[in-house]
Amino acid sequence: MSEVNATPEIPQNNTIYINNLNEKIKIDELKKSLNAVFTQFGKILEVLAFKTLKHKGQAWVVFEDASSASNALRQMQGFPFYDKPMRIQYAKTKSDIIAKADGTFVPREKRKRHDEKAKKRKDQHDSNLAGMGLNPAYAGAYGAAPAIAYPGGAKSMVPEAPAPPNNILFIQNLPNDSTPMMLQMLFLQYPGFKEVRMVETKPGIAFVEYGDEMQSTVAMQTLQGFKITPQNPMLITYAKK
Amino acid sequence: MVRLTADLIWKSPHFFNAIKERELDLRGNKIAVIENLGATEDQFDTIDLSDNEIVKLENVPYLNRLGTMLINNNRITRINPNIGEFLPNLHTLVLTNNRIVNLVEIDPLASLPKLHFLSLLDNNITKKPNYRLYVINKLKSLRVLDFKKVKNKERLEAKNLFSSKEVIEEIQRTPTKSETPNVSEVIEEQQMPKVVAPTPEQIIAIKAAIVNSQTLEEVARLEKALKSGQLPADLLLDNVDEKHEDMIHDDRGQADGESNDTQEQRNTDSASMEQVYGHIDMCPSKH
Repeated sequence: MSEVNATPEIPQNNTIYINNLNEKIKIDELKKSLNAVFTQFGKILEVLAFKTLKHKGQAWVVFEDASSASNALRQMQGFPFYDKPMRIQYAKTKSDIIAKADGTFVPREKRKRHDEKAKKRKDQHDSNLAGMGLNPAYAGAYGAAPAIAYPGGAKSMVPEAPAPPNNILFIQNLPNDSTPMMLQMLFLQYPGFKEVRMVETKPGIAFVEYGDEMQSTVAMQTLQGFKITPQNPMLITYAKK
Repeated sequence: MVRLTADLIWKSPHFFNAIKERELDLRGNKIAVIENLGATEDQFDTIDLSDNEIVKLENVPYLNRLGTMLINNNRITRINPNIGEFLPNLHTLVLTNNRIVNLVEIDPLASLPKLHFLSLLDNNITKKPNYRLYVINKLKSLRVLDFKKVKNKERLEAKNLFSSKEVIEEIQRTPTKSETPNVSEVIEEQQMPKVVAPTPEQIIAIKAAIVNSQTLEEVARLEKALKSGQLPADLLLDNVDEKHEDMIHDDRGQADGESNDTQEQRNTDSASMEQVYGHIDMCPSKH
């Protein structure tokens, strides 16, 4: 009911708006057919049809004369066009091609599109900053660990003492050129493996996460002292909570 | 009435239209006859001849590039049978709101090898029974007719419908029926002179009767002549009168008796002859 009431409120226009068009017709063929069916009412300046989700099954036909648009609207209302009755109304705004002809054209749409693009770029930049912020803090938390381990010879003799059991293992004494993929191949063979995380700013250390403490303990005991290279036996401890 | 001249073609707008084809706009010029289209020099994908007064789609030169003809709102009733030779790449033909009436009149369009799109809206042809199937059967390359896709079901249905020769003969007879009134008029004309013919004979008979009216016997004969109204009867009666006069002069009793018998026989013969003539006259009128 509201639609019916709305129709007569739209003022006369050189452009007619058509919807309820058959969506199976290709855009080029649709334009050709619309041009062919509406040439009987007068000269057509432009036919607009798009295949985006919002504009499916719709089209605009711009006539040279407003009277042509009136005749077209009256005579072709409900015409079975590719087996679907056309629903025709006047367009709500003046078409660009008409506005250019009578000098009232203002390039508003282009500005809007430009603003939208700028906003999108800012959002992406912010997300990058957020990502970078996490890494230094995480690395800083364990930056002191090697220092603590190195001073006392007694502590290195008993590596398990400082940290309670944890589902995350802290790996030290890795070769400088090791990669997460290499470690993953090692630790993946034990049940409960989740992921390997390496610290870019601190080569030689890594974190390996398992499902729970039992699983991480099994992996730690099995791979303790594993030599990726002869000079680098792995030193595995529980990560600090 | 405006003539389609080379000058008009050069002055008319030519531009890239709404569907990005090179178009010549000859709209609304009151053109009555298509001519001089060679002046386009085969430069246009589309020619728009809408809103004119064209009666025949003919006089088209060889236009290899032309793909679309828009001929809305004209008075097209005839199409050149050889139009396909001159427009080898025509794929779209719009004949909305013209005066094509009979199904046979779209047969020449079958000569267009690449006609895919045809509109015959607002022509009386669309009101003929089996119009759509007939067009589909005749124009094999057609894909869209009157803004509805031509489906394979329709092609098969049309093929089955028009495969029998009887249907084709009926369609061919349709124009013949339009000639029937003339034939009936001819028949009526033939009947008229026969009705008029007896009148002069009747007049002659009446005159003869007046001349010969002298005795009661003659009056009786005159009555018979009036009923028959034909010359042979009149002649026979005259001969009988002459013989009667001769016999009276002889004054023979026996001879009179014999002559009376002979006269009666002759009267009977004339009556039968009259009947024969009547039958003969009736036969031609029946035919």
